[in-house]
Order: sequence, then structure tokens, then C-alpha cells
Amino acid sequence: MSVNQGSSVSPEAVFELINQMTAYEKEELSKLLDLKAIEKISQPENGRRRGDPKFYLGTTAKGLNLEIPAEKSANVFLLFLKEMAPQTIEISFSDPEEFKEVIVTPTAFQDLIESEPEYFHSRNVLIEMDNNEIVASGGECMSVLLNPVMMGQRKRLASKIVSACGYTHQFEREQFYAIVWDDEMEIREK
Amino acid sequence: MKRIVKSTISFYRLLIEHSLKPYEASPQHLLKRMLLPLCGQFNSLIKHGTKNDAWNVIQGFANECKILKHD
Repeated sequence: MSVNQGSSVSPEAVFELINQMTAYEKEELSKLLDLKAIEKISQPENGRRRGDPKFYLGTTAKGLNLEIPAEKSANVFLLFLKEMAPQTIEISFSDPEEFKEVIVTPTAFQDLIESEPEYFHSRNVLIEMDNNEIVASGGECMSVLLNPVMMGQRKRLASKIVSACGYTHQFEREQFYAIVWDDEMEIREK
Repeated sequence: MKRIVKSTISFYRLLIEHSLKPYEASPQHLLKRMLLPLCGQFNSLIKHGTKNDAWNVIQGFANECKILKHD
């Protein structure tokens, strides 16, 4: 992203650069600048915060949408396997060079994830487990289309995903999201 | 539905879902996680799909758009 816009620097661009810094760099910078003030003036008028959170889980019309840390994706794939308990798993790989489809057993899928937790990190895949569809981009950005049975268990599944990613919350309502920007989890349920 | 069709529609759904989130994802995220995979799908569709597949993809996109209107 370009920081310069003409001769000035936009607060959004500055905030985005700060967001890309390490925790140590942010701490050092906070000694010189009021980061909260920069964050405040960088927010769009519609109130939606800009940037990429550490964690996001939200309901969609037909399932869930997730942004999870890459290092937690293996946990989440194994959780899907356990909760959806499919007979077979169909994986479509969307590599730029080749579109490839494979069908694997649950055991083979589990072995793959356990032996190579980073397997999906550089891949874009559609994973089908008994009419549940998980589209995963780089293993961390996912849309999960749930079948009617799993849709009835969405709150429970979502709570378990939160747990698999190292946080704690039990969802109680039908529509919700959980988001983590720094350390604290923000929850909305309706 | 053929998987190449289903997969392409899935990445379009991922893009739509981002527009409904309570925050605005960074341009880099949209590019890397949604647009580039979607471009890859289009290339695969041209290489390995049929005209009928392409039509089914458009129909799938239209269905996802209905969800967007009613969300």
C-alpha cells in the first residue's frame, strides 16, 4: 500500500503501517506517538474498523466465516473432521497451474493434518465433508457452508472453534460474531 | 455440480461474505485470499471446464447475489 497521497499522508495509511509492526515496535512507537488517537482518526465514517484482525468468527446466511491464525488452522481442520464425522472427504485444490480433486478417508485426512500441520497454508482448497463445504484460502481465511444438521449445531461448533484457537466463549444466540484485534475478544450476539 | 464449478462459486461466496463483515479487510487480504484464488479458478475453468460449466458458475454467482440481497 502506498502511504503517500499527494504531498500528505493519510491517517488510514499510517494506522495500517502501525498494524503491520511487531508488538515490540508498537510499544516503542507508543512512547513517541498517541497510537489510540491515530487509530481513532483513521476509522472510516461508517464505523467499520479497517484492517485484518487476529481472529474473527461470524455467522453467515448458511454457516460461518472465519479468519484464524495460520498456526491454529490444523486444530480447526481436525475439529471439523471430528464434529462433521464424514464418511469420505473430497478436496478440490485450486492451484494456478492445475485444478486437482482427491477423495480421502477421514483417517488419511487426519494423518495428513497431523504429520503436516502447514499443509493447507499455501493452498486454496474446497473441502467437502458430508455436504458441509469448507472453502479455505491459505488455511486461515474460510467460509463454511453447513448442512442442515450442522446448522442446528452452529453455536456449539462456533464455540469449539473459538476454543481451538485459544480463546473462550460460549455463543448463546443465533447470530453472532467474535473478533480479536489485539488481545481482548469482542463479542456481538443477537 | 462439478467441483470446478462449486469451487469457483465458493471463492465468490468468500468475497461476498467479506463485504458483510463488521470490519473492512485490508486490500492485501482481499487480493491474496479472495481475488487471486478466484482468478486461479477462472483460469482453471478456461483450461479444464466447458461452456456449460461457465454458465453454471454464472448461475451460482447469481444465487450468491440473492443471498446478499436478503442478508
